[in-house]
Amino acid sequence: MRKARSTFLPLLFSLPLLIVYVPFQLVPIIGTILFSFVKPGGKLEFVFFDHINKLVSDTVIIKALSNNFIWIIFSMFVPVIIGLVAASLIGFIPKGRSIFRFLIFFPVPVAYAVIGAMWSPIYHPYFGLINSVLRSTGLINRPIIFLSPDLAIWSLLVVNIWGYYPLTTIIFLASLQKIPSELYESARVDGANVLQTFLHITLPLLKPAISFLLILIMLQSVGVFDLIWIMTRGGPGHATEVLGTWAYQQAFLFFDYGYACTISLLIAIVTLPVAIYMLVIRRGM
Amino acid sequence: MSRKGVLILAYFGLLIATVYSVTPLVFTVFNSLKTHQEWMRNPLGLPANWRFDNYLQAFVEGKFYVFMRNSFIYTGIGVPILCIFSLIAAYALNRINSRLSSILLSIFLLGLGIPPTLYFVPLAMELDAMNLIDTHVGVLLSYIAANVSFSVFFMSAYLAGFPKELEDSARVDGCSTLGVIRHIIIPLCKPALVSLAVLLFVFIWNDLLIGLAVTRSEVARPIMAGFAYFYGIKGRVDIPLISAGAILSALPALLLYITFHRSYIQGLITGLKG
Repeated sequence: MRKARSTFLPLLFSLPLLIVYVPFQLVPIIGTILFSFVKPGGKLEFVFFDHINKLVSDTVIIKALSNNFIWIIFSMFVPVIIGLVAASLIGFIPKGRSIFRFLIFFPVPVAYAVIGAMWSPIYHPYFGLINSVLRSTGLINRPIIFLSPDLAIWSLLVVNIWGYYPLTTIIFLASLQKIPSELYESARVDGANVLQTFLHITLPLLKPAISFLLILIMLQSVGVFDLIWIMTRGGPGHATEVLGTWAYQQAFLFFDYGYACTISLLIAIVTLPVAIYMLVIRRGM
Repeated sequence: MSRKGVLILAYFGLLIATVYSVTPLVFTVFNSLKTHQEWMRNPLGLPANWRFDNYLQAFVEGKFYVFMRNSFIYTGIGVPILCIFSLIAAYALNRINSRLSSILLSIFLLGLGIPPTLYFVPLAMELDAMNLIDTHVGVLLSYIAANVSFSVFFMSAYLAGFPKELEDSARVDGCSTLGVIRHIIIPLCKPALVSLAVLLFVFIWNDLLIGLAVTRSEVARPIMAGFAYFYGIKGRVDIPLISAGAILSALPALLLYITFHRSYIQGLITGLKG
């Protein structure tokens, strides 16, 4: 009796979550794959090649893919570099650590939807903060249109970095605190300056945190939606379209659910190598 | 360069970072207290006087009271359910080593890090077919499901880190499994549960895509989806009104962060790094 109970205890204790998790996350994930191949509904109709044809001839997909790519690269490296510097500075100063930490991390709990709305007035062509400052210092005569087709994706990236770098700073700070202070002491005794200490002691010890963060940001950047949807809806034109916003419009504007699923599947395929790599790393760590 | 010089540079750098982090929030608060005309005359300065009309307008006419109430329902029910049941599941899966346990754990971790972008369309179709689209139950189920993997992962990472001896001695004293969970595990896990609860609140509160995908009207719409529609209508015409809406939408998560920032940051570190 006891044995039988303990055998099924894991299942029993997992059941409350499983009955929600399986139907409302796992099944939809399978659905994304399934509806890329067959038409939803009673009759079995194979539509995978129709979707592939549409995908190949869809010019927006190219734009979205390249935007996703830009998004991934810059969201990966810039916040990591800024976070590294900010965390080192916080770790370096003797006084005021907690207040700086508290203030710098302020954007972390703010939703991307809200962040987008907060930055729009900053980018405003006539009344915006940046244009006003630049105009009053005489640096520009004509307002910079930050959300124009040429600039929009970069302007959005700046906002994304604003939202992201506090997070990388947190992780780096946590890793920095684990480095024993004796290491720094002995480096100072040996006459190493600040830069040398950073390059030869801090950086190598932060390597696991850096590679972990790069992968995490990559995974999250592939599925980016919120910030872009709020600020530009993928426009102007399709200048800031990414796979996420395009899938959303295919589903809820054009009601082509199957094609929307195919785009989601494309996101998954782009993510897959990194996800596998991450699993391997996790196991190794 | 002298050590003092480096120190001054460090403080200067941090000051810039602080300004970068805080400026958009401060400006949004300032703008939210102005009228539209005042904003056009004086887009950067302090408001002439503190008017909360924009907040009232967003809250009542903008239907933020509906959206916020909905999100409080989803977080108020979803967060405790996720915390309690992920603790129980993670406990069983960690302490009972069997094939079944490891299979169940892998199933739970399948969804880890999968953004809703990958499955929101079939989710909406499924809820539609079950007549749960645009209902509170449908949204709540979607939010719970979306956070199960993270919660189980978070609790197992925490549980794996502490010793079994206490539980064993409680068992010798005749405690049942649920008794062990109630009297030993829950008290020991309290800091982790607080961190998890704060994180989950922020995750659910801040979600946009699921909220947009599984609602059709204002009835069950959560806050960020509601804000997105509001922004779509008023974003270009009334910056102060939008700013008030933005502050209103962000306020619960911000207040939670201010109150629990230690737990929140600790939770992020545990949750992200395992």
